[in-house]
Amino acid sequence: MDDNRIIELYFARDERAIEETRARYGRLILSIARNILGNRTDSEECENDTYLRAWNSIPPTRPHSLLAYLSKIARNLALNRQRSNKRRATVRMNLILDELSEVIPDKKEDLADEIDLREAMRDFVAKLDNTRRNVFLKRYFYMLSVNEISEEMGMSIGTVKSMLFRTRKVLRDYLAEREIDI
Amino acid sequence: MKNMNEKDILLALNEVDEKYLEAARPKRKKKIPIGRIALAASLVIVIGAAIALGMSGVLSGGGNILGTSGNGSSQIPNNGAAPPDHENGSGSSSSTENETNFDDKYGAGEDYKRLISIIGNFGESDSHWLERGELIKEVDNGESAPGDSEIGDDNANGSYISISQNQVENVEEPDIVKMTDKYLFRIGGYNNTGEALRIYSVDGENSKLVTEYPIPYFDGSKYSVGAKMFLSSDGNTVTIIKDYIAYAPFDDDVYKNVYKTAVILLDVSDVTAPKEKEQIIFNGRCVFARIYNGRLVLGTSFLSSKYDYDWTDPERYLPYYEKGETRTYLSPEDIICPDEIFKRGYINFTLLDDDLDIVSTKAVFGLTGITYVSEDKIIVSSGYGKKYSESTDGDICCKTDIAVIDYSDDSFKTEGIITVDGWIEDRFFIDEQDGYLRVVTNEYKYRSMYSFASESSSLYVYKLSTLSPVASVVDFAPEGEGATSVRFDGDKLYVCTAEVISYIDPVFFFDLSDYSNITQVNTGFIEGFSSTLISFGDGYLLGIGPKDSETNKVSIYKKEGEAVITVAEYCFKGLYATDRKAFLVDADKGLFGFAVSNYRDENGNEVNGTYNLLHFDGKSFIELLKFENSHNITSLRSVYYEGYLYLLKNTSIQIKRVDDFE
Repeated sequence: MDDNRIIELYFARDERAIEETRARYGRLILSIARNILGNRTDSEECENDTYLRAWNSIPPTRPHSLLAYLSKIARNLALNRQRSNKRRATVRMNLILDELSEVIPDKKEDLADEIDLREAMRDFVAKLDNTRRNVFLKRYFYMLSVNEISEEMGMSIGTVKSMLFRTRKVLRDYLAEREIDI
Repeated sequence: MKNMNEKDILLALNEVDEKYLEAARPKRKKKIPIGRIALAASLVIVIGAAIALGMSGVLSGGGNILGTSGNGSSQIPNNGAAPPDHENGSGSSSSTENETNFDDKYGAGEDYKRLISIIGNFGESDSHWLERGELIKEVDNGESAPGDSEIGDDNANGSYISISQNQVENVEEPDIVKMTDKYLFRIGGYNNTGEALRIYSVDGENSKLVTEYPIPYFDGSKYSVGAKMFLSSDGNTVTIIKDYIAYAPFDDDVYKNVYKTAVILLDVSDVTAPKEKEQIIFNGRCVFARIYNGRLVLGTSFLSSKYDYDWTDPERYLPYYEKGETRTYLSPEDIICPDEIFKRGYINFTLLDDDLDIVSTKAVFGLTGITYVSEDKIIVSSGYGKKYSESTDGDICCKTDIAVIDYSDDSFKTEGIITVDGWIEDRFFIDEQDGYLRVVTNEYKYRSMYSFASESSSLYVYKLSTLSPVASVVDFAPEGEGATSVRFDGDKLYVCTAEVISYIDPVFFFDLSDYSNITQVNTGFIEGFSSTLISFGDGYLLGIGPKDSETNKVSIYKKEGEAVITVAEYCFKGLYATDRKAFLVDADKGLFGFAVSNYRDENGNEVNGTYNLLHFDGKSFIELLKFENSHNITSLRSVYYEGYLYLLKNTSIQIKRVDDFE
């Protein structure tokens, strides 16, 4: 069933919407959660919470992209669960956080608010060329491993790593230029 | 005002435009039950991490071959009941309970025990890297064997036509499409889960499917990583290289999946009824495969298990191959092991004849990386950024080890290792020509691990017979730029350098005809940059890459006087394939074909993907064909032959007449 029909089921308050969502995106949602939480039970709970959150928010929201909408919900839930429960981050999550620590510019006195950072990230991603953008998002949005990205993109592992490395470097400079301190 | 951290960056990514998230969506993997995804992923992580760790200078003077008195390969029946057959060597090894068990069960000698000891102690040493190694053996500077013409004789299946854009002329690379002048061979999906070889007749609009042959699905395999193939020069034999992930025959918390590589020989002399002739299976995944002079040289990477070893089971830590009913473990003298290791995997080099009989094999423990293969040399770089040196002014520089292995006389001989500044992005950054090794590296200097100082690109030339430096052009890129794509072409070198989001694109043309006087000219700063460079004949260079954040370009460059000029440019939107084998390149005819994915325009409307066939007439691009295409851009292949474009899709073929353009 395509996205439009699934969204119509949500609007019709038809519970088949959940089953169709699970069939179409369940694996993606679970993998996003597992990449962050590691633990299967937590990840499955996160998957179910994602369906509940989608059920409660559609309508009134009519997602332009159901895939992106659900991915964002799952990701937020998993990140919040990991942060609030103070669970140990997975190895992959730790790697990703280590990598992102590289993009934090030197501390300055004024701290910008979260909105600025979100705008900056949106603009930064939009400015990347297609290939680099896909690699960047696969790593830091979908939390794929470098090896998985390598296979998906048909690139060598070294190319993926150096591309991520260089993109982080540019992101760091970009945030510094916009005076975003984090 | 709030205190944010790295996770806020992750959360901020939720604001990214949804069209970008859709485009970056992870692909679905087939044939893995949901519950198994994480298991497979964890294996991939382990292997990926190991690959990233790189090699540890294993071919240096400190490296050595395990054992000195082995009596050939060790054969154990598939049921694992019989021991490896080898002589005990001399030397001492710390004895553990597990080793004793192994010894009791298999009568294992000290040679294997030493390997066990090394693997068991992996990671305990603080010393990771060796300095530039000594030459292990002087290179025979004789002429390499003449290449076998890949153009076959006239025969029933037609003459072979090489379409796979080999990096080294006459050294064939595998791909999912091969052809003769009578038939097209394509590997694609089969029954949703498997793969099949399909053979189509080459007959313009009358072309048709001749046969569909399901590729064997191996017992215990979970899913195929993707089969590729070679086609013999007479068009009568297809050699399939098939990576797959299988359930490990043993079970513990760490090691539940294993990569395997199957090589399958098919007799396709009767294209209506392909028959399997031979089959051989290696543990480990395929890292490269080439055919030169009728012989297949194969590189497989096998990750040994370190944890909770059951030393009674050599399957966990020894490379092996299976042919027929016999499993053969590599004998100690065929395993090169360094004194210090950085990775608990092997790369296993194997040379096979046209009956898939083993001509020679050699495994190197701790070696992996980007691989370049020529008629007689295998050149392997170390992994990404694992070796650093600190300069007197405090900069930290990445370094790369490059190992040279010779296989010209039917055996693998390690020749030595060199160390260069910077690292190698892909195999096109490496080249060998007339006894000289040429490499381009990118270098990033740090003041600390999280403080970047500068980025640069350099060219290094080494004489292979002595592994001594001959020439270098250091830091040729504009400040802050690194090479994004490289193409060596005889005594020419083409390099594009760029910064990631500044979209500035100098393209360099180097003249390498005299290493004592390397000269270069370039385009200066132009829009965009090239992610792939392709020699396009007559001094023309084709580049494909981004022009700006929304638009991509295909460009033709040429040296004119003391500058490089852009002769022609074709702009498009949507993604293009990153695998250069997905491009149709016919420089003789001036043809370039490529598929473009769908994309959203500035109003958010979905625009369908297309296939584009361009003709470069020496002045500009002419769009010969442009039609809607929804097929995956990476696995689509296209061939131009005698007035027709053949679009080879996963399970079907599409044929388009091309109007006369010549």
